[in-house]
Order: sequence, then structure tokens, then C-alpha cells
Amino acid sequence: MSEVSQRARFGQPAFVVGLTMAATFVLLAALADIIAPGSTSQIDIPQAFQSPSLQHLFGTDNFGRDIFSRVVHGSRISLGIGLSTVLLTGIIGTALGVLAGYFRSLDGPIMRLMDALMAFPSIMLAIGIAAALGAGSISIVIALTAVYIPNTARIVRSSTLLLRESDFVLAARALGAGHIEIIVRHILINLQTPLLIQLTFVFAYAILSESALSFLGLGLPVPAPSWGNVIADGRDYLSEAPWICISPGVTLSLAVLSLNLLGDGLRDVLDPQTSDNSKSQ
Amino acid sequence: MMGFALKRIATNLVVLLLVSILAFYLMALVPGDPAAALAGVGASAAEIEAIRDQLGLDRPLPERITSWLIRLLHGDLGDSITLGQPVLDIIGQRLPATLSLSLMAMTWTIIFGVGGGIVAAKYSGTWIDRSIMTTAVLGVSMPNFWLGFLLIMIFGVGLLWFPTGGYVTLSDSPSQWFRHLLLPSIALSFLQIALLARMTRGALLDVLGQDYIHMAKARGLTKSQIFFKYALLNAAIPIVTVIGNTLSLMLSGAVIVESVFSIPGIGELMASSILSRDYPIIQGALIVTAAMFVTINLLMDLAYAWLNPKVRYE
Repeated sequence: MSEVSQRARFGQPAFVVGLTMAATFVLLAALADIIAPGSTSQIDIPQAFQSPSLQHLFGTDNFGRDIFSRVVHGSRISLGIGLSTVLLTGIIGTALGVLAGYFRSLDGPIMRLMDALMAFPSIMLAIGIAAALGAGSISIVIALTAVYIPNTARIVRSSTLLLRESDFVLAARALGAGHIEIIVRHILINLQTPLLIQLTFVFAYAILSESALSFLGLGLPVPAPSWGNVIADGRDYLSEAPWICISPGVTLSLAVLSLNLLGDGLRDVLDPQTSDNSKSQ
Repeated sequence: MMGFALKRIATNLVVLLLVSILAFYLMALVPGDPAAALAGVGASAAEIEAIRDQLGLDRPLPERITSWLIRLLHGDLGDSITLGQPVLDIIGQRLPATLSLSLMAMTWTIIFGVGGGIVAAKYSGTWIDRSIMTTAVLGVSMPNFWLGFLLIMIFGVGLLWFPTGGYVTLSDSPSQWFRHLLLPSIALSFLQIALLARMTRGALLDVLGQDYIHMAKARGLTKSQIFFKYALLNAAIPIVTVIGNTLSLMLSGAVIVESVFSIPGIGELMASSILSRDYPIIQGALIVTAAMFVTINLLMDLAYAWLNPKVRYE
């Protein structure tokens, strides 16, 4: 453990930067009402198209809404959708991966279904599901979860395949432990590291994909200030009011960047073996 | 090899079958009465009934799935609700634009992704490596539609170097074709370039740590001989695999980028069909792209097994 924390502290500036940035975004979401007390949806036409100033840090949009407030409050929506997707993907992906990896007879059916889900280009699958379920945060989370489950299940499955043949599982089985005990006490516990790394990246992808769905009009209904919606609001004013989409886009990219750095860092710190194969520093 | 090939083909046929059933169920997921939803607000009962009949929604589910699969086997994806034409024809008309865009983006991805990764690995640990890898991690953190907006603002609206959208076919004017696709292909390929550069660098550094590289050094080969003759060749397999997977990501990204730049491809078709609730088109686009992806994957698998006999026995 001390070796791990040493590596975390001294060897990984990217990890520290990622963690700090991610913590900042969590604070931003938690303190949104204090940081940006103004309304996010108050229409004020005389104030429309104001370029960034002290009064409106990120300027105002075509309805005169303060973009900074919308971005700050949007962090709750975007991070919330990302986190819900991560939790749901984690639960379902782990369950399917463990079942496929542990019970060999379930492997074929489960993994073929995962292959079928993976055969759809990811955004297209999300579009199909979101279009069928109708706009709303729940359908976005379901659509994104369907996109990210297959990869997560694959990673969990391959770890489970290794774990079920490991000495401690064989020993537990020899001592008479049942399947459920082995899965809960020996396999799930040892899946923490690969899952943590994978889910950090899922979080990053989910934020990106949510913004893409919003851009296509499949996100949250329009007045809601999800980051994707705020950026998309600027698409018709690229020449007159470029700031409408620049600062929300920078904010979103920084949030995704923090998660990518965190994921790379976690992989380097917790799992030096795979990180040697895919050095990303 | 024959046995391996047959097994892979069979597995992929099963996947394709599952893909078509999943696409079928998407239609069934539409809440409420799909026929009424498709007919739109204010449609008469007769109109709704006509759509219900056209789509066969009044028949039992197993029968609908079977007839849907049989029609698929005949290459019949149904008719578009808004355009009235067969879905397959509409997709066929849109395919060239999407392929042009994807292939151009693919070209940039291979040149700059592999190139960037090679340069970063050759100068690993130096400022060159660090700046390439920093750009790469920024590249995987930006939404591609936003990057498209930035490119339009800078090169389209600001500098007026390139058109801000639209499409000209290659046969009409090769130079205009290129000018219209350059910005979109950059927006589409940036993420892939970043991913491939990271991957290439990792694969190269991995190979450079192997014993036979140390042996080559001990034999007195020069650094560039080792790098280009041994490292690059041995890192090629994982790199080529990643390039194969890139095509699916390209098709995915094309939905968004085509909408940003108003390019009349499959992606733009799908995005506009969402707003008009033209479900047969969404379904058809899903199946066609998935089938393309499965076929490419199968070919990649077979080529891979042909090149590397170890794979056949796994």
C-alpha cells in the first residue's frame, strides 16, 4: 500500500492534476447555488448576445441568459447523468461479466449478446434507444448504459476467467465453499481495480456522449442547462456570438480531461503491468 | 484454417441475427401506440390504421419478428415514412458521402496517428514526446461537434479558407470535394488520431523493452536500424488491429460531424430522421452500419488468423 501511495504522490503528476480537477468539478456541482445564484432559464431579451464581461463571465446567449450560471448548474446535470450511467453500467456489466466468466455455459449466450450490442456504432445505438424511449434523463442514462455495458462486461469476464482458476479460489472450493460464496468473497473483491479504472473512463465517455445526444436534440428538453444543450444553443450564432459555445465546450472538455487523466493515473498506480503496455504519459 | 474460418463466420451470423432482432425491438420500445406516434398529431383513425397495417403492428410478435427477418434476408428494410421510398435506396444514396468522409478521416488517422505515435516513441521522455501525448489526451477529451464548431469559427467564418458546410461529389469536382470534406474529416479524425498515437507509442515502447531488442543492440545494430527494422514490424499487429476497430468509431462520429457540417450522409439522415420520427430509417441505418461493422471485423479476424497461426487455436 505504501508503495502504491508513493507512486501516486511522486510518480504521477497527471493523476494528481486529474484528481484536483475532478474534485473542483464536484465542488462546482455541489456549490452551484452559491457560485452562480442567478437564474439559468430567465429570459432577458435586452441582455441577449452580451460578450463576456465581469457581470456575465461567459457572456449571455440569444435569450439573454447568463451562460456562466447555465454552465455551473449544468455541471449537476452532466455529472449526474455521467455518474448514473457509471453506476448502472458497473452493476449490470459486472453481473453479466461475472456470470459469463464464472459459469462457462452462460459464456456463449451472454458474450454473443454483448457482441451484437458492440456491433452497433456506439452513438447510433444510443440514438436508437434514446429516440425510442423519448427525451429525458432516464432514457439517456439507459441508452448510454447499453452502449458501455459490453466493454465493461468483457473486462470483468476476462478478469473473472483468471480469478476462477487462481490458487485461492481453488483452495476455497476445496474447503467446500459454494459458488455464491466464491463469487462474493473472492471474485467480486478482486475485480475492484480493473472496474475502477474502466468506470472512470466510462464516466468520461458518458459526459461526451450525453453532450452529443443533446446536440442532436435527443438530450434533455431544451431549457435544461446540460452542457451539451448549452453548447448546442450556440450553433446558429458561430460567427456573431462564438462565446456561447466556446466556454461551455472548454468546461466540458476540462471535465472529461480530468477523468481521462484520473483513469490513466489510476491505471499507472494500481495496475503497473497493463500500464507498461499502454504508457500514456 | 478452414475450420477456424467457418467457426468465425457462424459466430458472426449469430451476431447479425441478434443485431436485427435488437433493431426490431427498438421499434417495439416506442412508448404508446407506434402507429399513432408515426402518424403524428391530428392524424385520422383511418391514417393510423393504414400505418398499423403497413407495419403489420396488429399481428402477434413472433410472427412479426419472423416476417421482419424474412424481409431482411430479401434486402427489404421497409419504406421510409416521410419520404415514401425504400429505406435501402435512401441509405444507398447517402452512402458515398459518408464513405468519402470516413475514408478521408481514416487517411488522416493513419498518417498522423501512427506517425505521431512513432515520433513520440522515438523521442520518448523528451519534450517532443510530452507535447504529442498532451495533445493526444486533449484530443480524447473534446466533443467532436464542438471541435467542428471551432474549426468552422476559425477557418470557415474567420479566415474564410474553407466552406462552413455542404458537400460536392467527387465526380462533380475533386477539388471542391476535398475543400468541403477537409474540416469535417479533421473534426472526425482528431479523437481517432489521439487514440491511435497513444496506442502506437505504447506498442512500440513495449516491443523496445523485449530481449531480442537488447540482443540486436548487443550485436551492434544502430538505433534506427533497431527501431525501424525490429520494433516497428513487431508492433504492427496491435496497431493494425486498432486501425480496424477505428472504422466503427468513424461511422459513429460521422452521425455527429455530418450534422455539424450539413453533409448528406447516413449520419445526417439518421439525425434528421429522429426529429421526423422516421423509425424505419433509424432501424435501417442501424442494421446497415452494424452489418458493415460485423463484416469488416470478420475480414480482420480472418486476415489476422492467416497472418498469425497462433490465433487459430485459441
